[in-house]
Amino acid sequence: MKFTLTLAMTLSLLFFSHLALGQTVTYTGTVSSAATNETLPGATVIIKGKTEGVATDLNGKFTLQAAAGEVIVVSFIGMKSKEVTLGSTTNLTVKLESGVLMDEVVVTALGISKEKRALGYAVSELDSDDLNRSGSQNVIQALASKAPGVQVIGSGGTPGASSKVLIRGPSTFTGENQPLIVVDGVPIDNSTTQSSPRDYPFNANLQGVNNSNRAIDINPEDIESVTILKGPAAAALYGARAGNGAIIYTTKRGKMARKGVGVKISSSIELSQVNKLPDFQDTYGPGINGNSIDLADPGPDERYDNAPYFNSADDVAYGTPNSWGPSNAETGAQTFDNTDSFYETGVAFVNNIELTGGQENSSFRLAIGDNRQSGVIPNTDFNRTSVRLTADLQATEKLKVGGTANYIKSSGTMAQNGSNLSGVSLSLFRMPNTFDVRNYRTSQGYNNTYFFAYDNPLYSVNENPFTSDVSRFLGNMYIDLDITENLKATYRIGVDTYADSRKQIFAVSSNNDDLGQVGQINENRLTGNQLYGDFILSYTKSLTEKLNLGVSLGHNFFINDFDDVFSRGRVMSIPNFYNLANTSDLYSSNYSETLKTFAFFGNIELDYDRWLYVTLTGRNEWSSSFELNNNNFFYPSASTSIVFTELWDNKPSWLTFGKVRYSFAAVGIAPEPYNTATYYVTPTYTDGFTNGLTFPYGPINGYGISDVLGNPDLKPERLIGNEFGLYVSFLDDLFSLDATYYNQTSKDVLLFVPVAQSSGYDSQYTNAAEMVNKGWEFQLGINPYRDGDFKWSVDINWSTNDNEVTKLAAGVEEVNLEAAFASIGSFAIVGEPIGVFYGTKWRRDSAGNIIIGANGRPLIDSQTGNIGSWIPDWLAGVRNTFSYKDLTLSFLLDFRKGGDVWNGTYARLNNVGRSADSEDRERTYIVEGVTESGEANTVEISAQDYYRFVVGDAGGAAEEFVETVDWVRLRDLSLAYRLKFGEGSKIGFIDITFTGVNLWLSTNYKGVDPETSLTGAGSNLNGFDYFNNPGIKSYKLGVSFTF
Amino acid sequence: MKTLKTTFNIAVFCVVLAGISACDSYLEDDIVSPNDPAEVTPELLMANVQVATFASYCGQLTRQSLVFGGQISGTIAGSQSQEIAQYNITEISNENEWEVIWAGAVVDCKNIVREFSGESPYYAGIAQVILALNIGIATDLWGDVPFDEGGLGNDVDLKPNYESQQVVLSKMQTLLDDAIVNLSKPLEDNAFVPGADDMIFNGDVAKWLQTAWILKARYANRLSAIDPSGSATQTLSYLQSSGATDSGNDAFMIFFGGNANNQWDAFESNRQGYYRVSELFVNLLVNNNDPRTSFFLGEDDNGGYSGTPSDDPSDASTSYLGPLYASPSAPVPLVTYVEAKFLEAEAHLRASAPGPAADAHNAAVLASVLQVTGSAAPAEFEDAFASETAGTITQEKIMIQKYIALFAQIECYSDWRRTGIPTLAPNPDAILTGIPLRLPTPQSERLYNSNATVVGDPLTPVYWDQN
Repeated sequence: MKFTLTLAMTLSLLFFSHLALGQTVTYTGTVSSAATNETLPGATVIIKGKTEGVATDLNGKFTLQAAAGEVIVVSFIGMKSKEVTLGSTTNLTVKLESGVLMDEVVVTALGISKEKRALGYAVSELDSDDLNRSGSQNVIQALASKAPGVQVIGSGGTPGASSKVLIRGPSTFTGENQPLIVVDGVPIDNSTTQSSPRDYPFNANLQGVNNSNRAIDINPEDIESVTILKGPAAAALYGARAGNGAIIYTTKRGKMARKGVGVKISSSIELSQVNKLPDFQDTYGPGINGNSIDLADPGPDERYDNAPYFNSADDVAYGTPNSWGPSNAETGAQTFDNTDSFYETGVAFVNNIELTGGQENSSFRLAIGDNRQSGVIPNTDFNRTSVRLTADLQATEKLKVGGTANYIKSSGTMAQNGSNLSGVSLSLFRMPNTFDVRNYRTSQGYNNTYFFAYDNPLYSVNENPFTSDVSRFLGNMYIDLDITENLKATYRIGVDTYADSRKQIFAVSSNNDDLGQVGQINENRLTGNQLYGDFILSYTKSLTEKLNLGVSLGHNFFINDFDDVFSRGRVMSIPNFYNLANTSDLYSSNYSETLKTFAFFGNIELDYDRWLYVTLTGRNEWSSSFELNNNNFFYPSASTSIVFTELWDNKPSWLTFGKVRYSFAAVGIAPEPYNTATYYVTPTYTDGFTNGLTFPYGPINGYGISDVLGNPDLKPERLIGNEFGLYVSFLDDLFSLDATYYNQTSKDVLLFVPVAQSSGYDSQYTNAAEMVNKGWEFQLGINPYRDGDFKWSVDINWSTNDNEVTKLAAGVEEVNLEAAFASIGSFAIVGEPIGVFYGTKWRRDSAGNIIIGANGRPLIDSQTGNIGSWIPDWLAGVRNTFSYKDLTLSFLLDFRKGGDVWNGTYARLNNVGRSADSEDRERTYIVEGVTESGEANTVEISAQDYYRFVVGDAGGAAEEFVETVDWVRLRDLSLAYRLKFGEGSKIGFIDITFTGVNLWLSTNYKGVDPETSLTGAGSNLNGFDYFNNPGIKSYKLGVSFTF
Repeated sequence: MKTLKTTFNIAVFCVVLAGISACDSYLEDDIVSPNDPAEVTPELLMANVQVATFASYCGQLTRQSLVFGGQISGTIAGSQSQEIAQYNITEISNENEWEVIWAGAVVDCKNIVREFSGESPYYAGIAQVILALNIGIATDLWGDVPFDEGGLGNDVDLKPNYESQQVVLSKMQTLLDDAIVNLSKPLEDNAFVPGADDMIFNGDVAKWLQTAWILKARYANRLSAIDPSGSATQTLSYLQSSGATDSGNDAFMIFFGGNANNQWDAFESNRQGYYRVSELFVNLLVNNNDPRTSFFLGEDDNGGYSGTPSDDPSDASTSYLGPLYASPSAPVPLVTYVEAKFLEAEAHLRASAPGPAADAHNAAVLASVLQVTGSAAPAEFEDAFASETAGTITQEKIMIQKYIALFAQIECYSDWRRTGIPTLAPNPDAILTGIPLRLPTPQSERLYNSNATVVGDPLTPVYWDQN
């Protein structure tokens, strides 16, 4: 009912806009290279000034409806675009010369195509080869290191784990920092959701499993190209969702006028392995003070009042997590390489079948992709099957309709991660080496472990699986109507609906249930429904011979419904029977959210003599996340591009092309719904050690006023961006350089302004803060060899982002962004980058010396503070591509300089005596520093005390564990060979490709692969490593055929 | 062309107009949260403030206070418990607990009093007693706190003014007086009355009245070092008014297991071995052949009773609390007759009335044994520990027996700070030179409340701690 209104409005626009029809003709043509005469498949042919176009088929042929006198622009990657004015000849031959990338066309916001030379802001473009070379099945992870200003942070090597993408750094504190993800003009859900009930009192991101970001449902094989709209000006037409930029995926479609059906079959197998682990000591066994401690008795050690199934009266030894015992040589104990026993080689099979075809006026593409992937952690997997049908119909000369239906089934089995008593890394890394991880089950089937509180990681992965099963439908359709020669209307509507059925079980005797080894079942059902529609009326007109005008007006609406139902059963009556009815302690909670927005927008483009381009956009948007009297906001942008080489009469011949660009925009970031009022909530009272007390409390319910004060005056956050750019190309694109400087200020940033809790509240959600991101982005292309059999190209991207929080709320200089650990948090501090680590520090004298106590251990400062920033100094990617005839070798080196990671893993491994460093223990240590009276410290402490209390987390200051991370990695390497067949052959070609990912990594980081995230893409925490699951390297062999 | 343009302009104008006016109905249904209510009833608030109080009196504040007070020891089983054993508490250590007191209990206690005292003085009176319990634990641990302005949110610009502990203690007496007035009103004055939502007493106002009087006595007696005789007089007068004659009206924290799990039990279940009963406390029981031993203590790994020394946290194989206080639905004492009798003994002794002091002491010990064990004390135990006379009674004896009887209650830490009994040896491995005497002002108060009194040093005593 809600969108009948919108539909009505759309229809009224259609009706009022009197339809005046013009005469069009069918043109056909062949596009080929002027240099080699080879036909060019996949070249784009568009009618100038319009958004529609076609692509050439495998033989370089195209068919197009257009009117005589219209101009078509033919472009192909690496070639100069060519404009052809249509006349009476309906069969065209277009030959393209190589060079001048800037004449290519790129898809921008709301699906509007533009010539690159006209763009007043930076965009990055990737094609399907770029995605394929990443070797990733996640279309977000596939962007890693491929474009300047784009940072992709994977959360570990487990199948299906989320990847976070940030463009030009974070622009908000509490809301979404990731860009809008758009597929074929329709925004899709890319959320990463943790499963947690309402009574879970902690940050669910810190534990659980590495959930997927929902864009993982998109099959990379369906993607034709990706445009990354980086700045606010580029994405301005998306309004309140444009603050973080937008990533626009354009999918493959069938080609009209290509008779018959083309078939492409591809298949690959991939093997993956852990790429990096912390170093462990292997000399000393379990114990403390050099004395041995027996490992835990087999079976659970627990109080059995709730759990009649345990019969373990002999259970008295709790075991130990400590490896401070005697040397194994001394005791003669047998030792085990547990990481070697535990991790497996992951295997992935990816199969795709694609049918494309067309008639004169219609085309289709049907693609089925199937991906089955098992992880390096036993019993983890991710499977995805996608069926996608796209069809386009030129119904009349004026009317084109088309649509896509995409059904996806994604399912995964995931392992416990992070700060979690069933956590895989937690238990595996701490495991004394005299324990054999493979003995994970007692004879009764219970958890067999070395320390009563942790699950054996093999028990955890086998008996406590988390499963997620997603059914998703993505559908969209569009209607393009050429009303007159100059006036065109487009209506587009898309749905994105999914249901995620999740189940987590904790077996009886596992430790991560809430009550203690009594078994638990969590059933979680998430459903998301998005409906998006837009209507755009566009008008183009040549005002004079040199001045062209383009105007678009439109509106769109967006409705998002999200529903989360969680049911939990605890205290299982029959072990290993996982139905809620088999539990005696039941709890259920649900959460629903609806967000509606509605907007009008307009876009004016002026182009003067192909050297001056000006674009103005405006959008007024209404949203349900505000109060009615304050619910609509205007977002403007302006951008210009000046092609100075067109103006320069005597330009040197080596300067092929040059332009400067500038843009300004003010866009927004909308608050999450339901923050305008203060509600009553069912509180959970906990001190962090237990799950606390909550409601229903026995038979009694209760509500208390929320600790967060709502705010009826909420406004959207404003991101105001200024961007300057320069593009120059030399010697016919032998070298090209694209440089961008941007300065983006986030104003009215929403934050939970902390208040003194003695007020009865802990925070108020307020538009108060300000933050600046400024930085440089460079993209350098070099093509030393372009023509001939041997080709070599180099693409270099480099970017740096300087983030600074410039203001918080009045009287607030520091604010905790998201709950992390007791000893370390993630803060915004005025004058510092967002999300700095905030934790305990050593006490220092005025000269900066650490002050050492009488017992020889450093003292902790009573106040905590800033101890590092996760934001890298710079990021770079260097891709070299060599090809000789049909053999292509391409590799991408990925560089990261700086940026801190909190290595909580290392801190704990020192504490428990498992780190390789702690092997050096047959001596004493003197901590460098001064005594409280100022003399140099001379007190010797034992190695155990040193590793526990100084460089371990039994008392070490958190600053001790913050590492500044650099890396160089071979992010991907691919070797491809194309076997071609003659014209008459049934087979078009066969591609054989080897792809390696992360084959080499050089880093100073002491833990797992530092491209890691404890909290994943669903959280704004960055740079935390606390027993994160390790990263992987992989080897993939693929083959594809076309018929 | 012109017509087209005009038509188009009109169309856009109409649509924009229609859009703007229709937008409200399109958007307004989804502004309000479907997940949380904007209005609630007093029953829900009452249950809430009681549960918040249980969280404070049976959680981390109590655990760490008992470590400082020598009843339990932090072991190396957990890094956090080891930090407590080393007195490593910072301004961020107890932010959660501070929040539970003010944003959990205080704000809603004041809401109940403000919204419902007209219709239901009983609700108001109970809320006032619970408010006193919460401000009491806050001031005992942190010293100066915002008595008047705490929990008032935007009414005080989110920056409540702190008041000195001296003032806070006197206002608590007034608050309890108000509670007593409200609880003493006739039933007819109430449009509605509490029932099962009052988990502590199921709406029995007589029991609340007694609790209010004992609380008044507890906080009057806090001033024993500042005004020995005046505080004794007041304590005795309040106890007289309480009319308490046995343990039948004791206030207990109520637990049901599951989401309402006894927190001593939940802690051991989630954090097994982090804390063990101290060697000192175990010895007090075992050496005295105390009949409460097997109730207060759980068995150690060898099936006996042993404690962990406060200066050697490596042993986690010793006794935890026994099932009396550490099982899923075990109630834990909050304000009791036993405490009242010990307060009476102490006050009499201070008022130079050793005879009544000895009588109260003996009654307290016997009442405790009866309450804990369910049977009267054995004769030999009574002879040894509950047969004091005017000639034999000492403050040391009273405080040691109170220390035992009020096991696992945070009162013991206040009593130790106030009297120095029992003698405790600081952990030599600690990062402080002595046992903490208070908690540092929470970071959020230091940063965001310019009206806060900030004290960072845990060795700075609170006002009443002048021994």
